[in-house]
Amino acid sequence: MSQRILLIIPAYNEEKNIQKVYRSIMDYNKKNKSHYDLIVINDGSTDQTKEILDKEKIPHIHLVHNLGIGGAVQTGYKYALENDYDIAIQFDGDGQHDVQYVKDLIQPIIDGQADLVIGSRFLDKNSSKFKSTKIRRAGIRWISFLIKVFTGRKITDTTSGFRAANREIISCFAFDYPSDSPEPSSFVSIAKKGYRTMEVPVSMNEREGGVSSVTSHFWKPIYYMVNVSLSIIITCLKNRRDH
Amino acid sequence: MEMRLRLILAAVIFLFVLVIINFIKKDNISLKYSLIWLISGISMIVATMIPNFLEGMSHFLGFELVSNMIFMIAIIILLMICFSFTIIVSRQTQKIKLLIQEVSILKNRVEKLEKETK
Repeated sequence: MSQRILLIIPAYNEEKNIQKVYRSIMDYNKKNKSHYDLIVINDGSTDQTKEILDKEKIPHIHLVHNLGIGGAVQTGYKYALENDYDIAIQFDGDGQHDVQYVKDLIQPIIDGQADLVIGSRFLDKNSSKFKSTKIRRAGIRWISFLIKVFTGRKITDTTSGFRAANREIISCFAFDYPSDSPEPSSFVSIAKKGYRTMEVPVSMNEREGGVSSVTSHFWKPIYYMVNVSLSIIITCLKNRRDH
Repeated sequence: MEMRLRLILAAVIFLFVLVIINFIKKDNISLKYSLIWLISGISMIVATMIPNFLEGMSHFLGFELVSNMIFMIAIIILLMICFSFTIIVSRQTQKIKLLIQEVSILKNRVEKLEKETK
C-alpha cells in the first residue's frame, strides 16, 4: 500500500529560493522514484514569488492576505485534510531543509511508531553543519526545558519547522494551529493530547537568502521568548481537560 | 454640586446619547456594541439630575470627594469596555484568518478545475 505524501512549503518573499527548493524536490522524486506531492503556501508575498510560482507551474495556494507562518502552515494542513493525504510534511521554502531527510521523517509514521516526527538539528552533532549563535542555543534550551517541565517529553530542536504528521495530527492541526510561535506550542498541544512524538536527526543548511523572521529586529528575539514561554503554559492549561 | 454645572453636564451627556442614537440609525454601530454606551450615558444623566444623589452615594461609600468616586467608577467602566474590545478583536482575527484560508484554498481549487475543463 503506498502512502500519499504531501510537502507543505510555506513561503513569504522567497523569490530567490523557491524555484531551487521546487527543483530539488522534483529531482529527488525522479531519482528515487518517489511520489512526494507538494503545495507551496504563498503567504501574501510582496516580491516576485507569486509570478515565479505561476510561471514555473509550481502547485501553490496564494493566500489573499498575509497570515504569518502559523496561518500559512495551517492552510497547508487543511489542504492535506481535504485532499486525503496520509502524511503531511512541513518543509521550509528558504532552502534550509534537505529533501533527502524526508524519508527518515516519514519512516516512523509508516511503521506506526509515531504520530508526529520532528527533524532535529541537535540529536546527532556530527551530521549537522548548522551553526547557531550562543544566544540562539540558550533560547532553544530554555524552550526545551519548559516543554520538559510541562509535558515530560524531551525535545532537542524545539523550533524545527521540519516535521511530518500522520492523518490524526493533520486533522488536529487543520482544526487548531497556533499563530504565534507555532512549532513549540503545537508540539505541546499534541503531547498533551497523548499522541506519540519522536525526533529524528537531520542536518539543515544555512539559509541562502531572505531574513530569518526571528532575528530581523533586535527586540524580536526577546518578544519571541516571552511569547513562546507564555504560549507553552497556556497551551498546557487549554489541553488539561482532555485527560 | 452647583445647578449650573449640573445642567451643563447633563446637556453634554444628552448630546453624546443623541450622537450614539444617530450612529445606530445610520447603521454605523451595531446595536449590540452601542448598548453599553447608551446605558452608561442614560445612567450618567440620571445621576447628575437627582439632587444630592452623587454626594450621598460617595459619602455612603466612604469617599472623601465626590470627584474621586466618579473617577474611580469611570476608570473601572472604561477598563471593562476596553477589555471587551480585546475579546471582540481576537474573535474577529480568528474569523478573518479562517476566511482568508478558506477563500485561498477555494481559489486554488477553482483554478485547478478551470484548467481541467479547458
